[in-house]
Amino acid sequence: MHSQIEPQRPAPDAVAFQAVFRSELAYVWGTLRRLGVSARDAEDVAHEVFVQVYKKLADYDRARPLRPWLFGFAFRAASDYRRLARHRVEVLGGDEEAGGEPEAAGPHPEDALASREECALVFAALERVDLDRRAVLVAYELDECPMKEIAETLGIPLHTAYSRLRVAREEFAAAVERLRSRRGGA
Amino acid sequence: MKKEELGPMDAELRSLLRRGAPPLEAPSGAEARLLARLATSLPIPPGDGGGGGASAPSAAGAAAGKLAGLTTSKLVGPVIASLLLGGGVGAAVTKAVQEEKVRVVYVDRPAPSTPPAPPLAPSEAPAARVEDLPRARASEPSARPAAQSAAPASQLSAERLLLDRARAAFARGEHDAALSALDEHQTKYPSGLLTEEREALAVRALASLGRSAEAHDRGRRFVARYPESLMLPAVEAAIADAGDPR
Repeated sequence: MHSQIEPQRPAPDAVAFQAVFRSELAYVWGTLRRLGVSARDAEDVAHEVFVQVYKKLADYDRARPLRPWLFGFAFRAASDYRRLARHRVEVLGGDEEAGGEPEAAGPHPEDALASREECALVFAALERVDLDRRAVLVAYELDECPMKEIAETLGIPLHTAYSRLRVAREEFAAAVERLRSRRGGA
Repeated sequence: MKKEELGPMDAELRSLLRRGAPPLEAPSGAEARLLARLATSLPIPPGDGGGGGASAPSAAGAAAGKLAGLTTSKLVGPVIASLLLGGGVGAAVTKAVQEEKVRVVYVDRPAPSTPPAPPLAPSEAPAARVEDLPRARASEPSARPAAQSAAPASQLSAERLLLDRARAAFARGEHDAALSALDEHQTKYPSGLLTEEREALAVRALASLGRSAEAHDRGRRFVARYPESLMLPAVEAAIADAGDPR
């Protein structure tokens, strides 16, 4: 019997999880937003992602880079999220949401306005890209993840990943053009 | 479709995409809120940093050692690699561990029975397929079990406040105060929405106070009632560390 409880040490699982959480929360959060999770729901969805990350952390193949692994969780969570009709409706109507966020405010009011308009435009254009293709676009063009890694993470053949990227670019470009013309140019 | 057939994205569009895409950042306060939420369902210390309890550099070192033992490849993910190999992230993690000032339960889990695979070059690495990854639940905001989500949000908030108070006290090493808050929760919400979290924390607090008989008794009831709990390892470790019941 201990006369006094010895100081207990943090569990390795907890330490590793918190390390991942603290260093990668921004990545997970931003990725969820890029995959169409609304700002209002991002915290709830991020919570679900990290619960799953904790449960699967022991299975993480440490020979592989971490972010593509996390991207898989974020993609799956965003996919589930967007399957809910009410979220889909809200997200599709979310132009004003992206434009209303102060995330990209610049030092000057006119810069801030331009930045917000660009954010709203990009958010709306991304919304018009199917999520499967959007995920490839985000991972490749924004995360600069190698396509082979993306294909493996998404469980699709490499040529399919490239095909999705090609279509995603086309859809994104077309959406930008439509939105710009609707808004009287930008 | 091959890469050489695809070519780069239109430069103007790519620039627009990069400027306008949501940044890789979380709003201020999100980290603390999320960590607190996660601590209610996972056996991790709350992230509030607590007050002025003793830090645990040796614990951080031990934990890093454990992780180093788990991770030997130079091709390890950037975050964990930084954690192990030093540098900003590693320092930040160590600092975070030291700042926790929390007595949490040490769970020594058995090593995987299968030997680790030899390091592979990234191009040879096995596929981590999305299909193999866990599915996050369809994310109803603040998703809780059905019985819980049907309860009034105000009760959940009230319960959470009490448990947050208990966790904060626990983090500061004020285990009596933690138990006091937990007792208050038990009185007000004997079958509340956060009963599982309350009981897990109570066992840990009792163990930390050396009240081993009570820790054992309450811990046994927890194990019987929540055999699938995520907090089970923490509770079992607390019981084990509490020593023989007196």
